[in-house]
Amino acid sequence: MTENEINHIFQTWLKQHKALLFKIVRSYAFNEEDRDDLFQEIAIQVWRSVTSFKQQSAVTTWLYRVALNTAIKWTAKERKHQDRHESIDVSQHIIESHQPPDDRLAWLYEEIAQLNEVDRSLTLLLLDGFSYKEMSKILGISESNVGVKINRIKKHLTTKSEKS
Amino acid sequence: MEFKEMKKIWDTQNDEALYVINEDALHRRIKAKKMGTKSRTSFSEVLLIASNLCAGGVVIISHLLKNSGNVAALTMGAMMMFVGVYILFLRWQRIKRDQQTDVSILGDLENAIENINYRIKLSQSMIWFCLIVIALTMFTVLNSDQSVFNIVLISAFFIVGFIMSRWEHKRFNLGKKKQLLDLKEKLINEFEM
Repeated sequence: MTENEINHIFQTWLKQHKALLFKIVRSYAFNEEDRDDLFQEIAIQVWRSVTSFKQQSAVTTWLYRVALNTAIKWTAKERKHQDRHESIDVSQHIIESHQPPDDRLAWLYEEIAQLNEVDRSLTLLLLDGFSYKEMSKILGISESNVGVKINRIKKHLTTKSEKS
Repeated sequence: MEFKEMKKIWDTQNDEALYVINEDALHRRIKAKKMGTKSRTSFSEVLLIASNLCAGGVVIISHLLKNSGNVAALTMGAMMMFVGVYILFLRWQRIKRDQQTDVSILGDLENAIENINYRIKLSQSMIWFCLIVIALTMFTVLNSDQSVFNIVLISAFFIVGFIMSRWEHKRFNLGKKKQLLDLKEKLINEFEM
C-alpha cells in the first residue's frame, strides 16, 4: 500500500467516523490540552493501523479497538508525556468546540468519567450499540464477563440518574 | 432516567458535530510525531544488523588483504558477521509473530509485552556481545603500536557506548515493560469479578 493510499483511507475514516473518536477523547481527557494530546495520539495510531486492517470486522469496530486501546494506555501513562519535549506548535488546537453543550449529555460524560478505564470503554461500546460478542472481541475477554459488567454499569448509571 | 433514554441522548452526537478538526494542525503534528516515533525496535535491529555486518566485513577483508594473521581480529570479524545474520533471523521471526496478533485490546497488550521482552533480550545480549568486542579490540590495540592517546580515546569511546546502552536499557525498556505489565494486570483484575 502506498503512502498516498494510506493517507486517503485515513482521511476518509477521519471524516466518516470523527464523532466516534470525539466520544472516546471526551470520555478519557478532561481539558482542552489533554483532549488535543489524546486525539493526536489516537489519530497517529489510526494512521498506523490502516495497513493492518484486514476487513474482517467493520471499520467502526476496528476504530473503536484502536482508539480505546490508545486511550487506556494514554491514561495509564499517568500524565508523563514524553512528547512535551518535542518541538510541536501547540498554539493551535487540533479539536475545537463547535456546539453549545447539552446538559444531559454533559451529565452523562461526567458519570462516565468517574468510572475506571475499563468500565468506561464498556460503557462507550454499550451506548454505541455494540453487542456483547463484539465487545468481547474488542476487549479480548469472555462474553459472560462482559454481560456481568454491563449489568452493573447500567444499574449504576440508572441509580445515579435517579439521585441527581 | 432509563438506560434507553441515556442512549438517545448519546446518539444525538452522531447527527451534530460537537467538535471540528483543525486538519492543518493535525497534519503538522502527525508529521512531526511520525518522524519521532519510527518503530524503536525496528530501528535498533536495522542499526545492529548493518553495523555488525559492515564492521565485521571490514575487519575480515582488511586483515585478509594485509595477510596479517591476526587471529583475534579475524575471530572478532567473524563473530560480528554471525551476530548480524542472527539478528536478521530474529527480526524475521518478530515480524512474522506481529502479523499473527490477536486483534483484541488484551491481545494487543500481550503483543506489546512480547515485543518489549524481545527488546530486553536483544539489549541484554548486545551488552554481553559488546563486552566481548571491547575485550578483543583492546587486545588487538594493546598489541599494536598505537599511541597511549589513541588507546585512551578508543577506551573512552567504548566506556561511553557501554554506559549509554545500559542507560537506554534501564530508562526505556524496563520502564516500558513495567508500565505494560501494570496495565495488563489492571485489565485482567477488572474482569476477574
